[in-house]
Amino acid sequence: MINLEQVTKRYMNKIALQNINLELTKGKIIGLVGENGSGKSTTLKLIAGLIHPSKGTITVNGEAVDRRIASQVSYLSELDEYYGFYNVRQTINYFAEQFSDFNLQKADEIRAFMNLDPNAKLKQLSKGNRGRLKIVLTLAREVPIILMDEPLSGLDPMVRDSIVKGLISFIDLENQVVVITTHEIKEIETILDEVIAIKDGSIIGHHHVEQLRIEQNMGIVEWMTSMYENSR
Amino acid sequence: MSAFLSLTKKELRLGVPVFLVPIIIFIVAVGVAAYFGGRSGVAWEAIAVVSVSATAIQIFYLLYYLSFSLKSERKKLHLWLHNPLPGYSLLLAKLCAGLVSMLVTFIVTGGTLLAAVQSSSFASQLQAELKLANLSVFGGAHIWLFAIDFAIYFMFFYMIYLLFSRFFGGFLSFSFTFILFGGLTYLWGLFTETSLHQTLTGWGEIQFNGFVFKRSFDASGMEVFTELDMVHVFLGSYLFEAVIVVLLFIAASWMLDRKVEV
Repeated sequence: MINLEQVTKRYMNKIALQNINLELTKGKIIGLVGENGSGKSTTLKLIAGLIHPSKGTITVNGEAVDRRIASQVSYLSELDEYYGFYNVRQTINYFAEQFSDFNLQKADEIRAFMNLDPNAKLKQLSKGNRGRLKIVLTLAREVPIILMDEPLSGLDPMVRDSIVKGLISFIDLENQVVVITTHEIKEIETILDEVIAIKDGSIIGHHHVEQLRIEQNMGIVEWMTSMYENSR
Repeated sequence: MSAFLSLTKKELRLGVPVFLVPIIIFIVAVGVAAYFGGRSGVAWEAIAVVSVSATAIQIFYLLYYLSFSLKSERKKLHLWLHNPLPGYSLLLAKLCAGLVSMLVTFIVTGGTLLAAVQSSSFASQLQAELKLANLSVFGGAHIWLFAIDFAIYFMFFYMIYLLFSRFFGGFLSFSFTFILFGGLTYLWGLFTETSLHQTLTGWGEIQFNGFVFKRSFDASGMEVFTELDMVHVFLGSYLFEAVIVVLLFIAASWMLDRKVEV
């Protein structure tokens, strides 16, 4: 489904990703974890075709990735940017008109679950509520690939847990693959099938979460810490 | 609603401030001209002068509109670019929104100009000498042609600026783009002096007559001569420029799809 072969991303002298090989298949929720600047967001932007690899190839369902892969990829950015002249409903409608796979009914269900007022102006929403709206816009698309860059950032810690549990009911796990980057590992751990640890632009570990628990009796944070220590 | 129409509607909403500012400035300028002109008994003439200036300056309207529109998109490139529509649609939606805004502004300034010309005594004297309808059509058409021309040149260089931004900061990217613009303009200037350019553009001569009834007229006792009675244009130069802007637009769209990064 998603294939990265020998992918390197360089910004002038800085290497953001180096020789990444990755194959992700549908039916999974995959967590991309690592410290700040490790290359998590860069990986998602590369898959979304919003940046281009300096070396290597990226394909989605066999198709070489560029910006227009947006027809198969739903991408949630970490940035808190939006068209401030729209309200919640107008934003949802705008997305529905841009993406033919956008499911308006599903969007309305997720919006109601997120407790968002459809008439609220975006510039008057709190950062947390804008974060919820981003989740609505991303999950309402019926696409094979969903990429979420820090979806819990800005959300109230008290509601994160219920939102994470709700996320699972809005994902079609038979047909979709979801890749999530996050620093809130504990909150999201329960819904992850696989976890990938990135450090300094290189993948230092890729594991099934369930196996970690059963075979090594480890949570993701402990596993990630051990991966980081082993890679020193 | 189709994706393109919805995108164009969004561009219109995004461009509301940039649309309103010139209209407000024009209304204020007309008011000031009417007030001070009225004190000397030439209110309509003063309004006509303001309206002519406001209409003529619209050769830069799309440049101004797009610079605002593309700049506001700069911080949310991921929103703008994460879209299955091809790059030419994204750019065309901005251009269409700019053209709609320009049309409304043009109607406001042009309508005011016509009203002022109809009402001013000096202008009615001018009407006796000039074929204002012919001048308006010829001038108006060229304002639009230049505006579209400049807009597409701007889009092309803005994409170059975004490409530089992948590697350098904002100031350096702007400087490099400006230097490239200057260099290409200089080279283009050299090219226009060649016989090849002359061959490509100097064909299909068209003469427009009927801009002026007389070759001279008296105004306040002073004799004024004009050469406007016959205008020569070359079809080749229009076609050549059209080909250049189409190529630049294709190049800008390609860069947006394949090279620009968020």
